[in-house]
Amino acid sequence: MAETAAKEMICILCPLGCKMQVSEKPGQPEDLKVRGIQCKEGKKYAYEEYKNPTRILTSTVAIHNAPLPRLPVKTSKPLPKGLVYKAMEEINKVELNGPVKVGTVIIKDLLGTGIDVVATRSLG
Amino acid sequence: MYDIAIIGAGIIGTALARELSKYKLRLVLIEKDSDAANGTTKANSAIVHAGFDPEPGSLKAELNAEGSRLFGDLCSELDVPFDRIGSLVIAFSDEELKTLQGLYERGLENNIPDLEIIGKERLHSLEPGLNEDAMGALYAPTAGITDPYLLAIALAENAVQNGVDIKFDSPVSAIEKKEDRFLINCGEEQVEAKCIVNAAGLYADGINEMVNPPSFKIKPNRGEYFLLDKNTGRYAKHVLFPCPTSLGKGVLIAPTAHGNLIIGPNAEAVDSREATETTAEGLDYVRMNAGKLKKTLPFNEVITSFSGLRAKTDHGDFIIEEAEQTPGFVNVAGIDSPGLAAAPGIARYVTDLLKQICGPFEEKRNFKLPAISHTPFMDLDQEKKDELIKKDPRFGRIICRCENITEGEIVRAIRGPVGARTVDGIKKRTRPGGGRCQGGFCGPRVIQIIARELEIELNEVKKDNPGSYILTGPTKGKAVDRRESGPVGECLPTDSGLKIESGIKESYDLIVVGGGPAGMAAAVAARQNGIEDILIIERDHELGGILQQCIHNGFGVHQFKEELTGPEYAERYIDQLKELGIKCKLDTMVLAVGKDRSVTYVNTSDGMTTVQAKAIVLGMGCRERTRGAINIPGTRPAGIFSAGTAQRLVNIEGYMVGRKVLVFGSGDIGLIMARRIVLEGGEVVAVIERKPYSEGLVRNYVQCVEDYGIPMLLKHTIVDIKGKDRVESVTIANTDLNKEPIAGTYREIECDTILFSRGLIPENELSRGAGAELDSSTGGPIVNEAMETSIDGIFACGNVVHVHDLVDWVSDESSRAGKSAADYIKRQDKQPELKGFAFETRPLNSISYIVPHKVRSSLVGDTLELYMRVRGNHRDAILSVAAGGSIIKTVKKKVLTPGEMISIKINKTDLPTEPFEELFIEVVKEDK
Repeated sequence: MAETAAKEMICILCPLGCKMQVSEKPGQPEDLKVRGIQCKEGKKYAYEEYKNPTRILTSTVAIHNAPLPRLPVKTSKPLPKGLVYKAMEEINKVELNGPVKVGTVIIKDLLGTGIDVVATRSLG
Repeated sequence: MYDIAIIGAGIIGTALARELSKYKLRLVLIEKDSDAANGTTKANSAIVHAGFDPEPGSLKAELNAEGSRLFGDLCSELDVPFDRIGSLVIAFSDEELKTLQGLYERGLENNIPDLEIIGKERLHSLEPGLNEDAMGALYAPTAGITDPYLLAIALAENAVQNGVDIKFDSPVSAIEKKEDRFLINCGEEQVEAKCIVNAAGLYADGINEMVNPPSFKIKPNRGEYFLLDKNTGRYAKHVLFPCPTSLGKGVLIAPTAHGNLIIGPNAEAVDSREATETTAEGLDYVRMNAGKLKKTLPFNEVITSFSGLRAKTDHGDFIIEEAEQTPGFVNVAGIDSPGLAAAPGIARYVTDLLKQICGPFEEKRNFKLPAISHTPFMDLDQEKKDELIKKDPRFGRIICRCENITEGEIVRAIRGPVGARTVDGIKKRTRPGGGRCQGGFCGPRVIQIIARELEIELNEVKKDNPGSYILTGPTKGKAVDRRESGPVGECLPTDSGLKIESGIKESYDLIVVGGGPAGMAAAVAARQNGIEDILIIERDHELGGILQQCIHNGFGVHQFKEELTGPEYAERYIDQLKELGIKCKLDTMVLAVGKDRSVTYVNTSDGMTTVQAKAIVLGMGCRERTRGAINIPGTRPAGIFSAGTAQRLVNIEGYMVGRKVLVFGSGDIGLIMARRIVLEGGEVVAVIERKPYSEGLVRNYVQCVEDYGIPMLLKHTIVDIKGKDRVESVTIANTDLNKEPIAGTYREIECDTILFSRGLIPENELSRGAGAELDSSTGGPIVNEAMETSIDGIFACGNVVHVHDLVDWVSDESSRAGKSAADYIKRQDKQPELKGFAFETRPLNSISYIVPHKVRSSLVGDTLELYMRVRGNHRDAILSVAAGGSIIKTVKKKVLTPGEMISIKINKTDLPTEPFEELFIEVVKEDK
């Protein structure tokens, strides 16, 4: 069985920014072949970024009765990368009233992920 | 029906309207644009020529001389700046000396007073710094400088006060001559008038030909200019001209009425009457020719470049006459140089002409002179300032921090008789955005004030003409009424629990200038080291500085061992300030810091006040490099933002800056904004970077650019910007090894918005004002190991010293500054005699700077921490530290990049004990 086509990735862990080629080993989809990187941490990053890339999503929501018209928010944990746009749709729907304290949950269990969207500042 | 309709609200139309308003006449001034002074009047040399240059006997000669005579009184009546600084036409050869003689004789014929030919010695003493080979000059002491658009607006205001109607956004599309009147179709309406004065500048031929056979043709001729930062005005004491040639008066150098330096113009015939773009060739020409007068000009202080069009005709002279076939139709056309100087003379001349045509005119008894002040708040005396702030506290709130322009002045500009309705309109009247940050900081606030005063939405505010929208609409489609969430500029109750210092206290132990990450950390450290009496002065209406708009994560990994967003990081420090009860003044601008550790500030409640501190910490941060500072040619439409300004608008104000965005520069803010634009529903057409690599962190490249499929074009630059009202496209090109564009690689990309992410500049106007020595490579003050500047007791930290990559290091450095300031205050009365020796740090070979610059050996703790950056990328490099003739430390680095700050810790025990003068750091080895 042939190797799957290698995926080009850049390691973000240090300023070297190693270009990596990541592919699944034939017959061992759990194990990955990582070329172009030497360090252990980099290989671990490659594995995670290949199998389940996640991102902290930060944005704002509309807020009334507050000194500013937008409240900054973030996901409480890294979100599967594929859900970013869907999450934005949810975040864009929110309209709330001040005052709000930093850390307040704005959306509970975003898209059924168990991850919350929380306020990143106090306002009002 | 009107008696007289004047078409065109430039300097000529407004001067004439005002002159005619002295008579009992029904007058209308019709303008195609949204504001007065929007064509040639907006972009010229701003010189009131003495009048020796025009051909004797010509209208130009007569009216320039008369205009120049009238200018002083006119400007003082209208409270517009005018300064007869005198002009020098400078000769560099015997041939040119002869030309001077010719000009001198002409001047005598034109009755120009006080002309003198001066020799080399007198010339160099009158105007120091000229090139050595300057041999002599024609000195015309009556030449002056003014603010042409403010003058036109003041004339229009005075005309309106005396009954003149003004119609803006009213391009004349047709004129019909009836028996006793003209029917003028302009904008949506029709105006009737007995007489017409055609003062339409670049469009005068078209207006003429609506009723007359062609008799002249306007041939637009472009001149390009550089404008340099305030305080560069001192580089020229007079208006400096080279000897004129057949091409014109040549590239001049002059101070402006506001203390800037203007350099230009070239002269180039162009086809379009809207060709007000700048070009690389034109600006190069200006730079080169200015060098012939003065070699040492501070072109690194350029804040913007612009171009204007002269309304030239083949006639050479002004055309001021009644049209032959059409009684009652007066052309005032071909008003190129010296049009500005001649304007008051032209107004009188045309008035006399109209008296002959449709006179006599009866003079008004109650002609009003304006009560409108145009003097900048900051130029008033203390008493007048106090009085104004008492009457209207908004005069105590600085909106434009480069030019120190107050909210009161901006509101006054909007509410005036010819009120500003646009961002450019306000800039023409009171100049916010006319300074070194080019509206980067004040732009969003000016938009808010316009929206509030005119009761319109933020996205309805225009830069200039109707097509020049600035914001495309609220993010998330959700506009939150600003009035609902609190008026512009008032302190945010967000900071409840914060100890707000109200009232004036004459002295403090420590004053911290700036409540961003640097100022907050310094204040906290000073308190923890025993200083009770601390005041933080912050210009914004909340603490946190730029962190509040950096809503992305990645902050605090070193400081708090967790990943925070900017606002979260800020709030951690704000909470500490609350806990420690440290006092703040918000919405308060520091105007000056003195060598004697005095601090002058202004706000709405205390007015303008000077207080004393035992020690000062400067933490003003930095500003963004603007398009003007990097000389990107092209037009100047709406839709050009620095990345940080866009970040504020999107993240804090909740408004989108565009739909199709191009990011120029791959700095972190640019990359982060690219992602924000996409997440908020916009499109990012590309990120353009001149260098062969991305400047931002790898993580930001991957997570902001690659994640969203945004093309990153390395080794590319912008060579042109197109679009009259709003950006329509940019032309990009590949760059060579010197990052210069390569011919033949040009291509156009459509977009409506450009974000500039081209680096940050420490904001050291206060440090400079205090007399602190600055380092030209960091742009910040020279500091010692205690973060003390060259001035005793004045400390500095954070991005005002050098631009950091991570806020965590800002906090670290600022804590040290705060502690040092505390130590300084505590020992102030009993300064210890310094033991040991002092040395300087010297960057060598690929190291661009080292902070601190100076170290006193006895004051080094267990370790000496040095921060630096490198030039270029290095792999497997070794940093070598040498002192006292031997290498005292080497540090291996896998990779060094300019984007990353490097720190080296040196144990005190590793420093030579014998005195040495310099410590060197260099990159010694690399395997490419």
